[in-house]
Amino acid sequence: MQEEKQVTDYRYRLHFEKTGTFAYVSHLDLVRTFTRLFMRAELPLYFSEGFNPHPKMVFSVPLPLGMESTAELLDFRTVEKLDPVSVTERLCAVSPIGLEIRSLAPAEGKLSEIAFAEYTVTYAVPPGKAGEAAFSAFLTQERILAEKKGKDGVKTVDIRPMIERWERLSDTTFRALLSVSSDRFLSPDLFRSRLHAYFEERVGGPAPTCRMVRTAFYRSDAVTLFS
Amino acid sequence: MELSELFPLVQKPGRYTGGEYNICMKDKSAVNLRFAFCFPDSYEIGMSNLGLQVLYHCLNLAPDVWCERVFAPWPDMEDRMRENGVPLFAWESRDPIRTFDIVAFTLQYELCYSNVLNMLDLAGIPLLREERGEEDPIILGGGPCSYNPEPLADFFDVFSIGEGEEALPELADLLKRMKQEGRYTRAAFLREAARLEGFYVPSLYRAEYREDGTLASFSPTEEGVPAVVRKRVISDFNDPKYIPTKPFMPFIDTVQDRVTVEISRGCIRGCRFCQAGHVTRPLRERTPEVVDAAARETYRQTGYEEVSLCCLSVSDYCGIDELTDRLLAWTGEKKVNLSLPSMRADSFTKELMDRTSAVRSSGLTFAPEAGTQRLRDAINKRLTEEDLFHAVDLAFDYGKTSVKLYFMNGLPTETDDDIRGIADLGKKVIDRFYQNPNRNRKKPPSVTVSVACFVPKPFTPFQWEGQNSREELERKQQLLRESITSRKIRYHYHSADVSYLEAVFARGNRKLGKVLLRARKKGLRFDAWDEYFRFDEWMACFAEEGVDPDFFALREMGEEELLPWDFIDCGVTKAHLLRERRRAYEGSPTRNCKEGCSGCGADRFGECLCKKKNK
Repeated sequence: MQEEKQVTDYRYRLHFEKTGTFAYVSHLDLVRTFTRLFMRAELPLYFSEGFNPHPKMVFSVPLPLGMESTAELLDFRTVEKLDPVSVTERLCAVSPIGLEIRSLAPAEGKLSEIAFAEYTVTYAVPPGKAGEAAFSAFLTQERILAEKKGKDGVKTVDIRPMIERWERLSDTTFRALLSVSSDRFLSPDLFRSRLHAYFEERVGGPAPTCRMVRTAFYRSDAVTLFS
Repeated sequence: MELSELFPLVQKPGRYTGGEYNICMKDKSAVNLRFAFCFPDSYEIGMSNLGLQVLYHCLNLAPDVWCERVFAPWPDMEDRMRENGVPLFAWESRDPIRTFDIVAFTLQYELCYSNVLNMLDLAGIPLLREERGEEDPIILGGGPCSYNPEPLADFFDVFSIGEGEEALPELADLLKRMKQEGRYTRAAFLREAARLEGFYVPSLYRAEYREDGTLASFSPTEEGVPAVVRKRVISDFNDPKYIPTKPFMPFIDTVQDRVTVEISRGCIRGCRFCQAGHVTRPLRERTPEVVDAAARETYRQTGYEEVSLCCLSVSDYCGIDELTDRLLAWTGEKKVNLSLPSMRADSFTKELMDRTSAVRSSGLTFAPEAGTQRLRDAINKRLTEEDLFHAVDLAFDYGKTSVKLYFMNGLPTETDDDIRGIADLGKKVIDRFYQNPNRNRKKPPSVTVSVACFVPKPFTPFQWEGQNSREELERKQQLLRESITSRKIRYHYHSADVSYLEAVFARGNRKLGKVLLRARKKGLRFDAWDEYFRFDEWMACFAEEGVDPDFFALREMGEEELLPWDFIDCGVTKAHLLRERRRAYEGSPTRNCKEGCSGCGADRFGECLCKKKNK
């Protein structure tokens, strides 16, 4: 096994969705799920050299457990060139429910170039006039302090610079663009909890229940889609 | 409240979401029988159980039967369910299981009995069979512990004794037919079920007791119900139809998560404490072709990175070389590991080691079970010190530095010398390491000595033996601790309290039903988990019900005594068990089945491998 030299110059990027209960598959479990999915689809994966060969995979920014996404990306390597259309079909045929394979293409650039993630927030009922006023005032604050759990315990940080956009799409639908680069990472859960705390303060009641889904990634200019 | 609303509130929601790859989904409107297969322990343990995969597969072969999985919700989830009025559900459909036709529990070990009752309660099903009505499901039990079903007789409508691949679909079919023909009532169904081979209906038998608490008689209450329940054995162990090649795959990390194919049933060894080795006879092996084909297809359907073989002793499998050749022919190129569990030190070879990923792990495990040759002869574990040294030498040649050794204490005829022998054997294994010129010089050796407490089990030559008292077991544990002088030996032992409770229920009778009911009322659950095991509360349950647990665990049962499980014919005869018990006290081992048949009686249930070999 170890002696064979593998040719490794094929890098592909898979675009997939995590929906329904599949959103409860954690990042670590996702790695295992994809390894087995690729083996079922008989992809000619590139395996790492050494004592415990394993396929190399890189995922886009981790998603909180339970959050759905239509924008997930996965980079992997193969020892043969793939036909994206037929391979996508093969993968779809052996995927668990909730893991939807959208497309496959040769990988361009690195996933670490992702700077922002877009989240679409859909409220069960319209937040109303007062609510919308609170939402639009949210970003006018100079600082938005939040407690962030890190390696060295809980820290208070200003998350305002990490919120690129927060905008209304319709009565019930809103969109956030949050920084997810490695040095400035804002978790969508933390954003939502600060937003809703602000809402409650201003409106005097809790925000309606909502569903938050990650819907896109952007490059550092916050305008160009990353795919 | 919707079940899915509870997911964000609990640890590891992946335990409850369902939707795993390869699960069986069916159209409810096209199904005539709903079957809930309950594993009364955590999702992670249950999903690792091969029996569940096998029976799920066999039941779902019928298009109009839908078998679904159910596990014991972890206490955090159970609490949320009770708070929000969410009843116990089936993992595939999320429908409450109290609406099902059959709710089955696999009984893998005695300490899960409290979970069985807790799960019935959480499902909203009356615990006592006497209290169930026509609308309630039939509660079915099966698995290893059903070889003595008596402690659970108050709670179960019917037990399946022996192998379930053919028996469970037959029972499901009977119920379905009776409902379709409009002649189903619980009583009518159970009366017919009792006449099927391999089924025991507790309500149709009466147990009477003597003043000393022992059984006076045990007999059917009506004509046509068999006095002896014969276990079931499948008609053709090589029939690929019974091998699940599309196993459901958990998303979350579980104990066993790989391609597993069962290669044999029964065991040639007949270790005198071992229930599995006796009740699974006659000996049968699947051919290497059948196993290899099943492994390939399972790999194709799963993409697992490891293939493992399941049986009681892998190195006793006749076709092991041919099988490993066949498997290695395709696993290597696909980067799939081959692992061989339960290797015996006396048939452990360099060839086997070369072939498996045992080479990759850092250590190996062997089970001498006893510390001296005398005691090993008495329990019929014929492994010699030389066998063990040969095996560890090989392991050390390969650069391994750690060896795990399994033992038992409290075995019949055991003396303090036997206990000290355990420490001695551990020390000798360390010495072997330093005498080995090929040893790994970068790491010091480590030997882990892991000691379980002997629990007398039905259908073993030691079924009559009293267990050592907890105080005596603890004294022996302490003696061993003092006898181990090397700091390179790590010592683990099992709780005597847990083993005691296991013995009570392993050899119990119907009088334990009220104790279990009280344990349920006290909220006891997950007894197999240290953090939930409440020994004092269990003892209180016995005291409050006026049941003496020592009577079941510690008492030596009489050879003439009618034992609670005597009405079951498991294949091996009582005469054989008695002969083996005598030989234990004489210190004589018995030849293994490959060397010659010892007449255990299991060949009445089908051709035994020992007979084939000797033809």
